[in-house]
Amino acid sequence: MNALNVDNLTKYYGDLLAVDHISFKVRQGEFFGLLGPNGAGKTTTIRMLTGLLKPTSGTARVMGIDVVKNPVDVKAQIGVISETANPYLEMSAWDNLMFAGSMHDMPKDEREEQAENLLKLLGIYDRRNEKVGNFSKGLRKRVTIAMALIHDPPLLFLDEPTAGLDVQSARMIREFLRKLNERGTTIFLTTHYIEEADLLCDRVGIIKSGKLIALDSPENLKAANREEKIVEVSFGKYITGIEKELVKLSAVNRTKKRGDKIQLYTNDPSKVIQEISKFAEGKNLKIVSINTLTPTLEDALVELTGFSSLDMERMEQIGRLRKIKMKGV
Amino acid sequence: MGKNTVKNLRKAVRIAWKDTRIYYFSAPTVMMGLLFPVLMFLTFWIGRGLSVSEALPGLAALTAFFSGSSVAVTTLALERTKGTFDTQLAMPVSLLTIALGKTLASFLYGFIITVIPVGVLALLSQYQVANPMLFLVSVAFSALASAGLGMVLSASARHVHEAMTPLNLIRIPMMFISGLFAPITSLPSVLQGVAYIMPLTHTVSSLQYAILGLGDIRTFFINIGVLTLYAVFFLVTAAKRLEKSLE
Repeated sequence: MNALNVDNLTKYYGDLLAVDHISFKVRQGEFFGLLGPNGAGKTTTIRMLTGLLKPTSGTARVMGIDVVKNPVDVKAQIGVISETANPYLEMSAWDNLMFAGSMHDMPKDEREEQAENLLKLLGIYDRRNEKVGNFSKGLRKRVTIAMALIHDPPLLFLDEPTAGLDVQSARMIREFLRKLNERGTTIFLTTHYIEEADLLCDRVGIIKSGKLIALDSPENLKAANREEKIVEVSFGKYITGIEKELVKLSAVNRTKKRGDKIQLYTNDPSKVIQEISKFAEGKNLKIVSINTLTPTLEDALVELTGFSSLDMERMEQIGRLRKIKMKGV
Repeated sequence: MGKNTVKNLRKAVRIAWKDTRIYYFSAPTVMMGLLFPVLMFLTFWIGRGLSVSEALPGLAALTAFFSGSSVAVTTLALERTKGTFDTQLAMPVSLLTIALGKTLASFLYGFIITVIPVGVLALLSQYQVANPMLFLVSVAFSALASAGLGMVLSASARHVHEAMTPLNLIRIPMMFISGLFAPITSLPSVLQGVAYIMPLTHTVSSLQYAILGLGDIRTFFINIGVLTLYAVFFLVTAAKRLEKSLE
């Protein structure tokens, strides 16, 4: 049995088509990522799969249960961490977990044992009696994760779990999710962080304008884009406008500045290396380093969607600001 | 009673307990559930030369009606703003159970806030309530119907004012035609008809019987029956509106 069977799932908001007949399967034990920019339909998809939103048409079976017909039964089988969900700030971390456990009808001793384990694993056991309102955003997210896992679900849904978190909390959460997956929990993750999807996921679905436009392992997605190679060169210091001159080299398709390095996209890396040597000689520049790179998942994403990770980050920030504005915070 | 029904009732009580801890002392609850009915009562009482016994049904009706809905009308909107409603929705609980839990928390608030001051006033003035048991029954069903009304209006509200404004538009005019300030018989005949379908009218009528002994037991039970019907109707409507808000 698959953990997830999605068939022609569609959602309209009035006339707006938010999710457009998407179909896919997620195997049990898989770490699956749905990647796409803000407004692509990631959150709408995850909300439909977790019973928080009714689809306009199509079906989804979660752990073999129809989510439209039996949303409560599905929720008993899954853990959900949505981007907008928060723990109760007026209650302590411990009381939040006790409440979550009671909603799963767990016996008190089982709830307490599980809560203790989770809070220790997530590094917040010492602060269990503090009101969550005193916690940082990263610590609140850890409480939300513990609440979602109180009943030890076989399938965990996470909507942008590390968005807006500090580096330490984000890393801690990624490591925790990796261990959870190794232990057998199926994980469905939506993210706009390309590196996060690349590091964690067995397979990645790329969604754009509500359509699932690609679905494969990160390596296969990168391989699909391998006709174009990258030559990365550093001249020791950045010279303003140099990428505009480098793009004029005959074998270079496009260029990208990366810190003090310039990345040159080409179908013929050896010719580019020769051209760069001549270019450096002509300009009296010293080449500090030169490397050929294989395309990244980001390159695959740019190819497929036209958005870079920077575009996606900007769009996410605008989306978050809009949500904050709408909430009147 | 089925196993699932018991399980759902248990979950509703836990939701009610959580809301009790979080929202009983929140600013909108205290403002609309405690201060507003007390101020309304003082406005109505001072200068009219009414005795404590004559004022008691009015105080009880206003408090039960306003405090009964004050928690229900605010919790959902507050939870939506804070992001905790999504947390609740992700848990394996039906929308009807969520609505029931929140209605219970609101009902209990209305019940306690009404019984305590009325009891204290009756004790201080040494007034003997005609039938204390029926008084508790009347307050309970009035607070329940009022809590249900609050739930209906907050079911799709994203901000507290979105629920509070229509609630006040309904309950403030209702006060003037429910027999609270003037007997229903003194109203124009059209308004009399409207008055009898208002839940507050049945609250006032049942409290007048329980506290002052005015009217008869048959009317009292009709009043309680109407309030029960309202409570059930509001609860089911609230669950339906919650469902609609997820579409």
